[in-house]
Order: sequence, then C-alpha cells, then structure tokens
Amino acid sequence: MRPFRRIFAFHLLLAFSFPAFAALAPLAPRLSPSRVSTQSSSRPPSKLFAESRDDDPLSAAARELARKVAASVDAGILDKLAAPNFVNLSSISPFEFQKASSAFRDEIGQAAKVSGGGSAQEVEAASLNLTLTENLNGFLWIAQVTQGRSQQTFFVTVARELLVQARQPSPSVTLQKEFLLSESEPILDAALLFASPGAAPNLLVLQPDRVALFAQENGAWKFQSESPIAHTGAWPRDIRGRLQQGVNGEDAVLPGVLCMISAGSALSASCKPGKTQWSLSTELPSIQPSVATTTGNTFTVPPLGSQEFYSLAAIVTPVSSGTSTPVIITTPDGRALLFEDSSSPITSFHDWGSDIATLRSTGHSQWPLLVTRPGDWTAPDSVQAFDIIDYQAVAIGGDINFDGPITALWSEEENTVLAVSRNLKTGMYEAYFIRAVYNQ
Amino acid sequence: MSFRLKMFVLFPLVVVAAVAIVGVGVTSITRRSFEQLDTSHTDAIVSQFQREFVNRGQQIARGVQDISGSEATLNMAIHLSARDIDPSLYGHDAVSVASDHHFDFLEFAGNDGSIISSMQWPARFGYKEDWLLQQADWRARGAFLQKVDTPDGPELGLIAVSILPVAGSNLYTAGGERLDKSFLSSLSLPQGMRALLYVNLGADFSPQNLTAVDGPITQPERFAPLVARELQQPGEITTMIHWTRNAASDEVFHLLPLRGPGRDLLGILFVGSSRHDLVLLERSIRRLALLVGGIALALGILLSWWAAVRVTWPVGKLVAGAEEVASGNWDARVAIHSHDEIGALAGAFNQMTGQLAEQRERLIQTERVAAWRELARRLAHELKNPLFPLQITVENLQRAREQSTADFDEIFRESTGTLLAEIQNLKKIVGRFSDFAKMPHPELQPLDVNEMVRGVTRLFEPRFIAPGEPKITTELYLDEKLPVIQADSTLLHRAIGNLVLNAIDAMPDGGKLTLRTMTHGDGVRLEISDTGAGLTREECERLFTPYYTTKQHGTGLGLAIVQSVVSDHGGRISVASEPGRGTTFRIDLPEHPPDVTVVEPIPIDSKKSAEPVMGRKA
Amino acid sequence: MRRISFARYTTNSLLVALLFVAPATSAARRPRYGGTLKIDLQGRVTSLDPAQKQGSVTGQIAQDRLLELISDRLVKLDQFGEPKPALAISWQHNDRFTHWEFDLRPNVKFQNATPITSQAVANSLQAVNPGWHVTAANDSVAIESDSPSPEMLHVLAETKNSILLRQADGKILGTGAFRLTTWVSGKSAVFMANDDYWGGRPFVDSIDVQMGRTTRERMIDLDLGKADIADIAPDRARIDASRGVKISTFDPAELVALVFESSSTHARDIRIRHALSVAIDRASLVDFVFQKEGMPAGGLLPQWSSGYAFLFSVAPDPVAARQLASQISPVHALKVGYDAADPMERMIAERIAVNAQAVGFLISSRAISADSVAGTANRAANLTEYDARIVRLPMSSPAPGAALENFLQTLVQLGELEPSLAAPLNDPANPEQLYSRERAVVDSYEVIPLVHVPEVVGLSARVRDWMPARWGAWRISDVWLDGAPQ
Repeated sequence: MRPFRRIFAFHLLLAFSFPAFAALAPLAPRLSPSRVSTQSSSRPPSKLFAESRDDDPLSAAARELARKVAASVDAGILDKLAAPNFVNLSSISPFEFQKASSAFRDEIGQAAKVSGGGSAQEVEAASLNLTLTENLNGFLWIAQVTQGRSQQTFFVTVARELLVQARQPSPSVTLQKEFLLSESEPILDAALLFASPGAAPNLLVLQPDRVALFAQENGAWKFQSESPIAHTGAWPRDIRGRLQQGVNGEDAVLPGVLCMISAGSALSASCKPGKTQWSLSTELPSIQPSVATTTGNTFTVPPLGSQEFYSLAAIVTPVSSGTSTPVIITTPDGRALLFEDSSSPITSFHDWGSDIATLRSTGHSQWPLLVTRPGDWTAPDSVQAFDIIDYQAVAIGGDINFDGPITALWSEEENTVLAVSRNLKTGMYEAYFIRAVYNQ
Repeated sequence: MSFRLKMFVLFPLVVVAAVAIVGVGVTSITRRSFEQLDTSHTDAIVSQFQREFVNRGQQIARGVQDISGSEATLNMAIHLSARDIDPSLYGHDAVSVASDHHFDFLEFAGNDGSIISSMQWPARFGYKEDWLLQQADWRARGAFLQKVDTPDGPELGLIAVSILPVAGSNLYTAGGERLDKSFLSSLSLPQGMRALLYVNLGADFSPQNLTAVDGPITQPERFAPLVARELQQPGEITTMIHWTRNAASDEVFHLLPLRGPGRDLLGILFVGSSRHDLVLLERSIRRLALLVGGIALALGILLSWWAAVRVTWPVGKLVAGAEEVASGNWDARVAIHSHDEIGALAGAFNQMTGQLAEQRERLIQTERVAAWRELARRLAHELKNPLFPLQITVENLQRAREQSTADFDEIFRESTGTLLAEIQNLKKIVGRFSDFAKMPHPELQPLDVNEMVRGVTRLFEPRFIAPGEPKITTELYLDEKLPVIQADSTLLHRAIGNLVLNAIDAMPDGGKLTLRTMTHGDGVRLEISDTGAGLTREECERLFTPYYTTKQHGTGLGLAIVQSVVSDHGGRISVASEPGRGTTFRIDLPEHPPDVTVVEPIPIDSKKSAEPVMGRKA
Repeated sequence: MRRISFARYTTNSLLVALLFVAPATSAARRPRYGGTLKIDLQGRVTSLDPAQKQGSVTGQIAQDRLLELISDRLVKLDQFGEPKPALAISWQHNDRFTHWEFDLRPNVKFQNATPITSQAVANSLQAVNPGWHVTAANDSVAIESDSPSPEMLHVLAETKNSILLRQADGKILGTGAFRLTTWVSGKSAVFMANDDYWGGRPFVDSIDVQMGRTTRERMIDLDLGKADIADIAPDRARIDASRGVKISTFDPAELVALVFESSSTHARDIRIRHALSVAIDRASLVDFVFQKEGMPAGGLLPQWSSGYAFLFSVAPDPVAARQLASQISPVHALKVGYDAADPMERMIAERIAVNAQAVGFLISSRAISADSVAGTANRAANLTEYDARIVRLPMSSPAPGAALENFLQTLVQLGELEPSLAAPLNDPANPEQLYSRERAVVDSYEVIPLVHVPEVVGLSARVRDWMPARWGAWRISDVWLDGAPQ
C-alpha cells in the first residue's frame, strides 16, 4: 500500500520574537494621537502593504521634511532627533505611515552622520514630534522640534492625487463550492487521500464517533468502511476535530484524544487520550495550538499566551521574504485580531464569523482569507474572500451562500478550503470544498 | 409744712398714684395677653410650616421614586452600566423629566456621582455631586433640605434622592422643589404677621437670599445680626427689630433654623409679628390714663383746696385764739359755729378761755386780799411791839405820880425817854413801809458789775471776820470780760447787799458765800450762792412776795425790793435752792435795759433748775 | 479622525451621500424630474443680496444657501475644494497675484433672459468687494487688488461673490439653476427651476422655502413630510437620527469662539484670558452641548481644512489655570454674553462659567438681545457691558487660506482683534504661514476658539441624490424627489 500523500504548497516558519510594539489605534473617535515608537530602523517592509516603491510620495515628503529639519536645527541635536515620536492623524494606514516615517528616520540619521553629530552634554536635550496629518487638499507632514522652551515647526505637503495614483487595485475573485457529501451526524473534517499520483482519490471523513472512508462512484461519494473512535467521557457539545498528517499517516485530532488512522485493507483508528496538538494552519506547522479545554471549543497557542480563539489563519504572500508571517485569529468576543510580529494585536476586524481559513491560491499576490458571517447557527451562512491591504480587510469578491451555518472551515490543499454546513432545511451536515477562480 | 399744705399736696398725689397704678396695670395685662396671642400665632405658623414641609417632602420623595423607577430611567441605567458608554446622550433628559413632574430641580448622576443630566444647571454635566455618595440608603432619608447649585448661584431645595442599582453601578436621581416664595405662600398668615425665608448659602449675609411672600423687604440688612446670632447659637430664637424710632414699627421675630442632612444651617424661617396694634392700644391706654389723671389731678387740687380750707380754717382760728391766750389775752374767743368736731373743739376752747379768765380774776382778788391781810398782820405785828412798852411806861408814870414818890422825877425822865424811843421806832417802821411804797426809778449809767460786786463784798468783809459773828468765807468768780452795762449803781448795790444779807442770815453757823459774774447773752449774769439751809419749794415760790419772810425779824420787803430793782433794769431774777444744799440767786441784766415793768415773778422749779420767767410786756 | 471622515476624504461625493444617507439610496435608480422641494430654515433672510449682512449667523448661512439656488460664482470648488470653472471657463494671474483675468462662459443668461455681460459681472463683484478694482473687457473680467490675492479663486467661489444683476427696484437676478418667484422677506420664498440653466435644468420643478422655523417646527415638518430638507441644530442630530430622521452631517465648518471685548477692563490682563482658555473643557462642550457633533477647537481653522489644528492644544489644564488665576488679584467677575435667541450659545456660556468656577474664576453668563448680536454693522452699545461673548463664525471657504483671512477680517471688524493680525498673507496656500499667523492670534488670547461645529441637515425619505459639498454647499440642483410625478 502506498503511503498517503498530502500536498503542501508552503512551509513558512513563524517567529514570535518581538521587540516592544504598541498597538495602533488609527481610528480613535476624536483627535487622540496614537504613537509609534519604533526604535529599530532596520525593519523590512511588511507584506500587508500593497507592493510599495521607495519613491512613494509620503516617504519622499518625509525625507524632504527631514532635510528641512536638519537644515534648520542645531547640528548638535540631530542625533537626538533620530528617534522621534511618530503620530499618524491621517487616513494613511499604519504600515504606510511606518514606512514613510522610517524614511524620515533614515534621512535624519544620515544628516546626523554628515554633520558629525555633537556631544550630548554640550547641547540642551531636544525632542521631535513627527505627525502625518491631512487637510482639504492633501497630506501634511509636520515636524515639531522642541528644545528647552523653544519650539520650531516644519511643514511639508503632499498632494492627494499623488497618493491616489500610488495605490494598486486588487483583482477580484469568484468563490465556487463543490458538494462532497451529507451526513446526519456532524462532519468534523474531511481529506482527500490519494493512493497514488493520478489515481482516484478517496475521501476520509472524521465524525465524532467514527472515521469513514468514501470512494467516488458516478460523481458521488459512496461509503467504503469505517472505524469507531474510542473515547472515554463525553465530547464537548460543540465538538471539533481535525485530520492532519501524523508521523506515519493521518492522525485524527479530537479534544483530548489522538487517533492514528491506518487505511490499509480495513480502516482502523487507534485512539489514546492525552494532550493533543492541532495543526490549524498547515502553513504554520510550528504553531501547535492545543484545545484550551477538552470540554470547550477554543484553542490557545503559546506565543499568544492565554488568548483563546476559535480559528487561526495565516496571511501569506508568495513573494514575501523575511521571517514573520502575520496571523489573524477569531476570538470568543466576536473580534478578529491581526498579529504581525507582536503578542499584541496590530488591528482588529469586526462583523466576522468565528470561522476563518486561508485559501492557498496561486494566482494572486496574497492568499485570500475566507471569512464566515457573524450570527448564530439559526441563520444561513456565507463565506467571503478578503485581502488584507494596509491592515484593512478589503473584500475581493462576492460571497457564496450556504443553506445553514458553517460548522467547520479548514484550510486544505492548494486552492481548497473544506466547509461543513448544517442545512437548516434538512438538518443534514453537508461538506463542501471551496475554491477560488480569479478574473484578472 | 402747714397742715393745709400737707392736705393740699397729699390729696392730688393719692389721686394721680391711683390713676397711674390702674394705667400701668391695664397696660401690662394687655401686653401680656398680646404676647400670648403672638406666641400662639407663631407656634401655629411654625407647625403649619413644618406640616407643609413634611407633606411636600413626601410628595417629592414619591416623585423622585417614580422617576427613578420609570422605564426611561431604567433604560438609561442599563445603558450607562455598560463600559465606555458616553452619557452625553442623556444630557437633556433631566429637563424634560423635571417639567413632567413639576420639579424645580432634577439631576441624574452616575455611579461615581458625576452629573449625567442636570435640569437646574445643564452646563454642570460631568462634574461630581459628592454628597450623593455620602449616604447608602437615601430612600430611608426621605426628603431633606439641600443646597442646590444653579447658574444664578446656590439655591435652597427640598430634595429627595433615589438610587437605581443596575449591574453593580448606581444611577442616582436627585430631584425636588425650590424652597422659596411659593413655598411660603402656602402658609396662611394672620393679620399683622409675616413669614420670611432666609437661605443661608453664602459665607456672608446676603439680602438677596431673604425672601418674603409679598413684595420686597425693606432694610433687609437689619436681619444680618439675627442670622449671625442664629449661626452662633443654633436653636429657636425670638427677638425684636426696631424698624424706626416709632415703637409701632417694632416687629418681633421668631427664628426657626432649617437644617440640611449634615445638621448644617441652610435656611432660617423668620416668623414676624408686628407690634403695631399692641403699641397703639398701649398708647391709647396711656393717653386715657393721662387724661383721667389730669382731670383727677385738677379736681383733686380743687377738692383738696376746699377740704383744706374747710378743715383748717377753724383750726387756724383755734390756733390764733390759743396764741392770743398764750400772749395773755385771756379774753380771746374763737368764732366758729359749725356743728362738727371742729365746732365742738371751738366751743370747748372758748369755754376754756372763759374759765381761765374767771379763775385768774378770782386768783388776783384772792391774792390781793391775802396781801392786804399780810400787810395788816405786819402792820399790826410791827406796830404792836412798840405799843406795848408805851402802854407800860405810861402806866408806870401814872403809878409814880399817884405814889408821889421822890423818885418821881427819875421815873418820869426815864419813862419819857422810853416813850420817845418807842415812838421813834414806830416812825422808823412807818418810814420803811413808805420807802417800799415809793421805790425810785433807776438812773442808768455805765456800771462795771464786777467792781460793784467787789464793793459790796468789801462792805461786808468786817462783819465776816468780826468775833462772835458766824464764820463766813467769800469766793468771787468774776468774769473780767464782762460788758459794761447801763444800770443804777445805787439801786443794784442795795439789791446785791440785800441778797448778801440774806445769804449771811441763811448761814447762822457760817459757811461759804460765792459770788459769780459771767456774760450772758448780750448782758451779764450774777450769781450769789450760800451754803445755808436752803429753801423748800413753797418757800421759793413765795420768796419774792412782799412782806413774806422766813426770818424772825424782817419786814419781808428785802427780796421784793431786790426783785423790783432787777425788773426795773429789765432783768430777771431767779432762785435755785434745795433744802440743806444752800441757795443760789441768779440775776440776769441786759446791757441796755428797756423800759421795764415789774412782772409778777413765777418761781422756778429748783429741781429742774428752771428760771423764773420775767417776760417783757409787749 | 473618525473612520467616516476618512471615507469622506477618499471617496467621491456620491459616496459621501451614501455614507450619510445609506438607506435612502440603497436602490440606485436614474433621477426623476418634477416635484416641489420643501425647505425649512432656522435663519431669517431679509435680503438675498450678499451686500446686505443678515441679522444673525443662521440668517447668514440661510442667505448663502438661497444664493446658491439662484446664482453662480465665476469659480466653483470640487469635493476636495479645488477651484473648477463655473461662469469663468479659464483664468490667468500675474506673478504677484494682484492681477487676475477671467474669461467668461459664453451664452449664459440671467434669469430675465438678458445675457450675462462682462460689465454685469464686474459690477456684481465690485459691489461686494470695494477693495478691488474690477474692470470689464470683451468677454473677460479683470480684477486688480492692492495686496496679493493668491486665494482669489477660493474667494471668488464664496457665495458673497455670486454674480448677480442688481436691478433698479432693488431686486436681484442670478444665473443659477433656480429663479426667485415669490419673496416674503424673512418668512418664505418660492423658487422655480430655471429651464435655461447653463448647467442643465435641475430635477425639481420648484422649491418652497420657509424661514425662521423653530427647532420644533422643523422637526414636525420633517416628520409630517411638510419639509424635505431642514437644517437641524447639531445637538439634535443624534436624537433625531435615533427617531429615524435621515441626518446629513457636514464637516465642522463653523467656529464657535469666545471673543473678549476690547473695551473690557477686567479682561485686559492676558493672564486672565490665558487662564480661562486653559480652563475650558472643550471636549465636554462637544460631547454634551453639541451631542458629539463637532470638534474641540484649539485654533481658528478646523483640522479637516488646515491639517495642523492638532498643534493647538484643546486639553483643559485646570492646574495651570489655577496657577495663573492665583497670580492675578483681584480677579474680577467676568461677564460672558451670548445670543439670547441661541440656546446652544447659552449652554456654552454657562459651561464656560462652570469650568471657570472650578478653577477659581467667577463668570456670569448674560443674554445679549438679538439685535445687538449681529455682525459688525449694528453692534449695540450694550455690548460694552460684557467682557467677552460667544461668537459663531461660519467658514467663508473650505480653503484654509481664504477661510483664515475671512475669520481674521471678521474679528477685526468686530473690534476684538489687533488689526496687524489680519494683514494679508503672502502665501495663503503655505500651511507654515497659516499656522504662524493662527498661532499669533490664538496666543494673544483675544479670541478663544472653542468648537468647530458642523452644519446638520435633516432629509425626508423622498430626497434622492443628496450630494452636498462637505463644507456645506447643498447642490440642490442635483437633488431629485422619489415619487415625484414624471
């Protein structure tokens, strides 16, 4: 018997090794400046910013402002100004702002080098507030240099048009769903098993009390064999389960139970209780979330401390280089939190369902994020694809509707997401594969 | 002060005093009853105020409970109990709710006491009402007085608070009514009384904080000391304000302190009752009293005058009559014919003087008879003594002749000699009587009494020291400062000599004769004292009676002569004597003797050493 | 900044309307012609002639709104405040910005069908700008000004520079999309669609305007459908929205400020004015008095226009205020006047009094009778009995330069500002210059900016394509009425 094979497109390592990084709150109800105090000037650009060039107008303006400041202030204090307080009062995204502000920092740094700096003792301590703001016609960089009681203010304007031109539109995407099968019992996960490359695949289905194997006949999946899942004690009411690659074959991971499945001549599952590690995002094998409680339906992951979540999705761009992969989690309080390389969220998204998954698609600069709707299980659900651009969720196409709530949404092989929906009309659990079609 | 004047003053005094006593009595009784009336009115108003206070308080507490329990408030509380909720949405609620419940004040405050919505001062939202948090159970507290801040400054409110707890946080509803004019107007005030409310919310007294039901308050600053006093000595005070000099404007104020939950003085209710009526009544009483007093006084004066005249006129006549009698007019009579006691008194007086006159007449005649009888006895006595030898001699001579004896011639010579001698003796006696009858008038010339006394003493000295005579020593005490008086030295010398002879006669066994002179008044006094047997009272009384003598041989004219000499000099002679103690004659002589006549001497009571009175004839 | 602001900055004006009145335009359809649009205005307009100042701020705003109906300017502003051709199709200026020439749009007629001439334009502009020298050429107009006017285009876009034909009988005619047919001064007006409008006939046939309507009346009219558009007091916006009224909120384009009377002796000491400025809690004013409609103002210009308003602190500093107050003795009680007819001004004055009281000042707020509130012309003597008063200054233009100059001139005319502070700016487009000038004014504490208030408009359900400019221009000619007879 040939070993089962699961296809992975990317294996990215997530490094949760953060410098101190304060969360941004760019949309405060009133003028309440939020500050970024990034000390390291060597941060590479994030992948969450639409592909940006060095000569983007904001950065250019920031450099100009830096030169203006450098030209007017005492050379001795330039090195003190290399780490200003940045404030973003504009509608520019935090990242875009960050990028431009690092440009300012570089420019000031260089100016400091050129001027040779001065000894800190000689001159009075100085501080620099750098603010990006916005007026009727465009954007304003404002630098306030405070030295003792004296304060100098410098302005550089950026015409709005320049920025509008600098933005790239996202291509739109259409989601398609492929019906697999429907069961009266909940379907926790399903995976295609290929006996051999090119051979017809089987469908392995995980349910609370069994794993079942289906084979395709006349375009429909027919039951082949099953093996019970032995477990002591009752399952959580909202039970979740995951089929993931184990050491030698498929493992079925359930709350507090790990089953090794052998699909030899007869399907068998040998289960043992114990702490289980889940692979929620196949892109991130290094994250090994575990269920928060064996009686609950949430996960925790060490880098996020005790933060419980329902689901986790990685935001991945194929071109991205570097060491960090941003992730989004959906939390029990109904929010979706974006973590880039910090244990505190950079931003949050609202009005999302608790199930999200990454669609590992090739034809797009960023893997779309599939998001369910908010609400409870009495209402039909839908799934929509989003891109995260400038730390904002941008819908990249319409949504596909289901006849009932989504009870499971797992990222599968390339360009595939498994969705299980409980049909409100029939009460049956229906499994679908969701795929993306790009219209560029 | 005469009896008439006394009566004249006493009578009106009695009348005025009586009227005054009545006036004062009536006034004080009236005042007391007025004050009692005021007190009862004040008490009534105070209790009325307190009743009103309680009733309104209950209404307000109910109203606040209703608001706090209303659906809208509950929704507000639920909404606000959530985190990050902005209360400004409810900023205007208090105004509308308050107008629904006719509240002057209404505030909603959050869990920390910060104002969510304020009706009285909407702009104070967000500021804290710390006092709201100071009590846990406001419902039990009911309504209470509370200083309420408003844009126009603090006001006094009757406030109730209700707490609506939702999800562990409280929503405070504090509402109530203004304690002001309208509140006072609910009090029914009797005529002459008024109620004022002072709202004590600032540090200093402020006239604006004083309100009355009707119209403005004149001189509000006059209440400042009262408020200060109430602040110093908390409690109900009653005091008076004199608005003007006119006492009718006076007003008595009863202060009722109004306190907040912290016992702090927030207001004062002044219940004022005007003294106007009382003062007017007092004045009319006083006027009446004065009028009555005045009339009574006039009448009293007339009456007392009449009575005085009526009573004292006869008394006066009696007095005049008595004085006439005293001055010797024994025929004085009082012509009063009334039939009262005075009339009887006058009758008795007239009768008394009548009897006095008769008795005197009778006495004079008796004395005259006695004197004549005494004179006759003397004459007989004096003349009988020589007559007997005459008879004897004549008879001897007759016998001798008959017997024709040889010795007849002898006997004849002897007998005629004896006859002549006795006839001489008779002549002498007759001569003495005629002397007394024709006593000469003194011829006045300056006389040194001391010198005269020495002269008399010298005259008798040989006799004092002659053998066979009783041993008599003389002592002179002469005042050398004696004035020189006008007197007849011969007569005085004779008189003093007589007295000295008397003294010698009074001391047959010898003794001490003392002569003493001294100034007396504007004259001189001369005393001659012996240490003889002394005289009895009767002897003293009759001593100066002519022809009275205590001696075996004596005409009894000596002292009578002395007395007539003294009285001719306008002087007086008196005698002081006690049996066994000797006798002292005292003579007082004026410096210038007037024309004097002898007045019948009256013996003095030697025990009282009284002087015999020698009054002058007016 | 609020997310909604951002959206408004970055989307086109259609989206602006969408964001304001989302439900109404859920079903997009092509516009219909016809119907009578009913407008309720708070202000009373006594004359449509911009040369005639109105008695109150609300009247002034109402006059602008009505002028927009009947007239055009040489230049109009797009949604970003950029000058675009209107009656003028092109323009040139010399380097010093003292000489401007505008080529007029051909075939434009006044509403009495007389064609618009360069002379008429020149007369119209000269009438309201005595400082200019306006001359007419063939098809163009030249404007000479002594001082450089780089902001000329924005100034010309202000409603006061509407091109009007002033007739002998005092009536005025414009070239606008609507023409005035009935006028009851201060009460009502009727406008009919101008079929020959050069920009194309507006959709509605007529506009029925009621003036001097109270807040309550305007609300009732909206509820009963007696009004399609009514201006709403900012503090009512939230409440009315919660009652289901469609609310359209503009950018905060009106400055509410506290200005000190130059005659006041009590406020002569700058420390008093300074202390008061830092004692005021502007955020609370916005939250409560304006029910969150508006922005705390530290400077004269709003952040959306200038972009640097945040440089002016709006945070209260009671400690500093107390320190300043403690340096002054005696601190006299200040009297702050407010328009008796304006409950919001009253509330502001009272709130300022409360803030001041909290730091040891005594301030009493007094109503000023309506006739003496009006702008420069008829300042009654009784104003002198106030140390300071609340003023409302609408922005004449969204462009910061033009708006600031207009603010300063107005303040100087009110007599509250040192004239030197109102000197023309060399380069009004340069934010650095604007900032330094504004800073100088604010630091004089003669004017204490309080709040920037937006104009708020309530709409009936049948109003469609409501696409006003962000700073208040209504653009009624684009509006059409749902259910209006075709």
